Amino acid sequence: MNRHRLYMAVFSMGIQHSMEYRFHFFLGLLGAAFPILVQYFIWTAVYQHSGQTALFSYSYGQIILYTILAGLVSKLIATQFEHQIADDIKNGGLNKYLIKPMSYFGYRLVSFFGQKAIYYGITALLLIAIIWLASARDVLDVQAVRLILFAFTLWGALLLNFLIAYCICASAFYLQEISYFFVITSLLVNILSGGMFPLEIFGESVVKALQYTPFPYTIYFPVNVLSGKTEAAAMYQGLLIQCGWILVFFWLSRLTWRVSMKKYSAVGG
Amino acid sequence: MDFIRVRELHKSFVYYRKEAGLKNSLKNLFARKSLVKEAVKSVSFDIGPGECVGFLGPNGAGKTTTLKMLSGILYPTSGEADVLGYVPWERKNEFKRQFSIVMGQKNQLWWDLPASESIYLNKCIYDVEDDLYRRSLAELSEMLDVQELLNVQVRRLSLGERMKMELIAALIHRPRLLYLDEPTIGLDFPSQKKVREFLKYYNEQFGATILLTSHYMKDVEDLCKRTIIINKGSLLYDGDLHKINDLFGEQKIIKLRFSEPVAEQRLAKFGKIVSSDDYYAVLELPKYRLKEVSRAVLDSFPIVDWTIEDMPIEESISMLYRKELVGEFVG
Amino acid sequence: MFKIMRKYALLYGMFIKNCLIAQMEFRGNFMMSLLVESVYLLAKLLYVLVVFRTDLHVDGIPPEGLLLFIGMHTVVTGIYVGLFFTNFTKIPEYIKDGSLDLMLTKPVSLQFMASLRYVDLALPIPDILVGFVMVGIGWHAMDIPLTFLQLMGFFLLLLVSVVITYCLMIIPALLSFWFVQTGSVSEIAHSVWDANNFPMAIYPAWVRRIGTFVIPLFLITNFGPMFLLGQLSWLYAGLALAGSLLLFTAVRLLWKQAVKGYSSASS
Repeated sequence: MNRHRLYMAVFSMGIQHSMEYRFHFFLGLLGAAFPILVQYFIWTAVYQHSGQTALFSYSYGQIILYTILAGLVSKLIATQFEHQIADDIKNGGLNKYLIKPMSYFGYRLVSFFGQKAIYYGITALLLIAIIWLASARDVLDVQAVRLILFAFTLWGALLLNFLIAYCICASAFYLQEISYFFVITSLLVNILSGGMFPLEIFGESVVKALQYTPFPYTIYFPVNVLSGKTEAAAMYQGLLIQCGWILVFFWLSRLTWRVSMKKYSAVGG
Repeated sequence: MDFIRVRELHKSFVYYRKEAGLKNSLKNLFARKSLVKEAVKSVSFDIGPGECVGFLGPNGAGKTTTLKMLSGILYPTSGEADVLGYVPWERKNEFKRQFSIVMGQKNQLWWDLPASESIYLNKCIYDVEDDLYRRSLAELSEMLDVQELLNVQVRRLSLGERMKMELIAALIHRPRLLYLDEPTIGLDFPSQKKVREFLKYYNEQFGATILLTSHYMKDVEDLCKRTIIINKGSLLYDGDLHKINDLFGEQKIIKLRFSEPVAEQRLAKFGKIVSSDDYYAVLELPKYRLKEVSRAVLDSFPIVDWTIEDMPIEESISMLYRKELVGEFVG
Repeated sequence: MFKIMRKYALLYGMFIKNCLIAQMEFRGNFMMSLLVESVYLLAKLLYVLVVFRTDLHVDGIPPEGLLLFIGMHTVVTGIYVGLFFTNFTKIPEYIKDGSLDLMLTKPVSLQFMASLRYVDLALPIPDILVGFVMVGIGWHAMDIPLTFLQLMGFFLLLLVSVVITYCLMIIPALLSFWFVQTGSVSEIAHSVWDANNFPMAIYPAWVRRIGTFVIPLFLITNFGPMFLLGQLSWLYAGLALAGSLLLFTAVRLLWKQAVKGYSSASS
């Protein structure tokens, strides 16, 4: 019971934090809108010139929808706690948590979801508008099942992306200069997740290979569940795989942190 | 001829009060409550060439703001200043070449480079001739005893060593006027002393005019014959620091130690009680009552030990702060 | 005049030397900067991938010709991150922590000191290298004669690009004289920056007009390649030069206004 209240407090702190930076968030959305616009014009030129109805198996409408949705989802699932964690590790802030009746992992996870709760709501509103527009233009065939599954996979994507980032953060135990490292990993993860372009542009074999990695399940997969590009059967299969990856990374994050933590305590940080 | 002439210098700035909470943030978006703070209020003084003047005052008194106006960093709200024949905030390059400012809390040296690089950069910025540069560098680093450290990266230096390097960088163009803002802040005692000695030497050797702010009285006491005391933007005192006690009609302090407990109220009629517990009391009283009170106290209480002292300067200064009588004590 | 120019050139040389020494101090960071910029470059090359895989022609320019534009954008990005980026992120810090105060007392231009003090020698390497390779490929593929005149025109327009880049990208930093939080504004500026990755011909006419005349962003990467492709006369090249100098004057005035406000409003 007490535990529960504690986590609620951290969750609401996360919400308050995001409220404080809401202005920043809206400007961030505006910032995300520009690359989407640029890509919109590029794809328009590409489709106009090629004269084909489908490129990389996407119709014009589908690729625009993909671009917008991928832009929104990557903004939503973006993690910003890497530097705080690295700071905690380097400057001994971790010690505070070692003596609290709350795991550091739990604290970060709950506060991350607290911070994202409002954005999730805002993104949902934007999505409703986009889905409505897209279906009005016959780009999207709205199915209730897909909407529900999308909502699920989006939470899954949030969790998975959190876990991946959390694992990467453990490297702060070992690396001296960490800020560059995070820039590189977050950009690479974004590209491999299909955050910039649909993965098909890399070619059939790369898409196949990436299916065996966790990355597509953070952006590429949820977006395609909604857009209808993923087959019904593949949808459920994908959901299962996403869950599988979540479990794997949950275990992996515990492992990496446990091992690193031992080193941390041994040094007496 | 006066070196620095300041008349009715005044600086106020607007700031906004922000109240916490979402509702208030929204309210602030449309109608912010703006408040005016008077950082410096009609300050006037003259400083002659070669003088070393200390600005004393608590945090936020307006010392730094005054210094910033005299170096041209800030525009005053009103008032005039003439420094070396220039209006500082016109920021003429000829003016900038003749003075230097050192701020204890800000460094101009680049952390990852040896100090010699930053000093050389200043040589180029101030167009110092090569041989004058070499001579000055040799002289200054010898005086501060840091020749060996010039080629060590600044971040590897101790705080005191860093301050010495800052001083060399600031003096490499031989300014006739040196402003120092809290130059000894955060330094350990030996470094403080060394910096003070150097400044004194520099002032005497080169006849440079020095204006220094500090909230350590020791800095000012050691270095400056003349002290300007500022509080809440107003000039409270201008003169010799050691004569400040005269303002208060020469108060004296009597310290008493008793063999038996003495109730506080029994002491009250002899003077102002500064502190007291059962066996110990400190009284403050004007000099002319000294004889009478001493006799009475010795007669009426079980005294073990007693001393008579001058009032400490710090005490006088804090009395001055409390009085806030603008202009009253300007000597 | 000549003496002043010489002094500033000398000072800039010292800035570069200082930065080189400091960067060599941390070789690990140097390599990391190289890596970071390479990954960003990789992300940009994805666009090249799309162009070639879809055999995109813009205004009749084949994918190889489009490399002229993407390459130009990459080169200018390299110059931007090398010469300006660090400085522009530091200007808000100078204002916040008061370092600007000390710079104000130096007998050199404050704008020069604050906006050009730092040069990053690692970040631009991948961009400039790969960028020029792309321009070279495009140059060759489009059968553009390699004459002195062509080269001169190209480098003149590259100079124009650098001046405009300075003027446009310093604006978020200038805003920090008035506002506390400007991080998101520069974030937006950086995302708008990448709109230049392609020839402006892919944008509708009204976007092109805004990007040419209101915020001359498109001049940065379009005029160089357009000149090489024969779509731009010397007259326009000259006009672009004049325009960039005008813009610089405007930014100079804005800067002075900002500093004036700083000197009267702070304590």
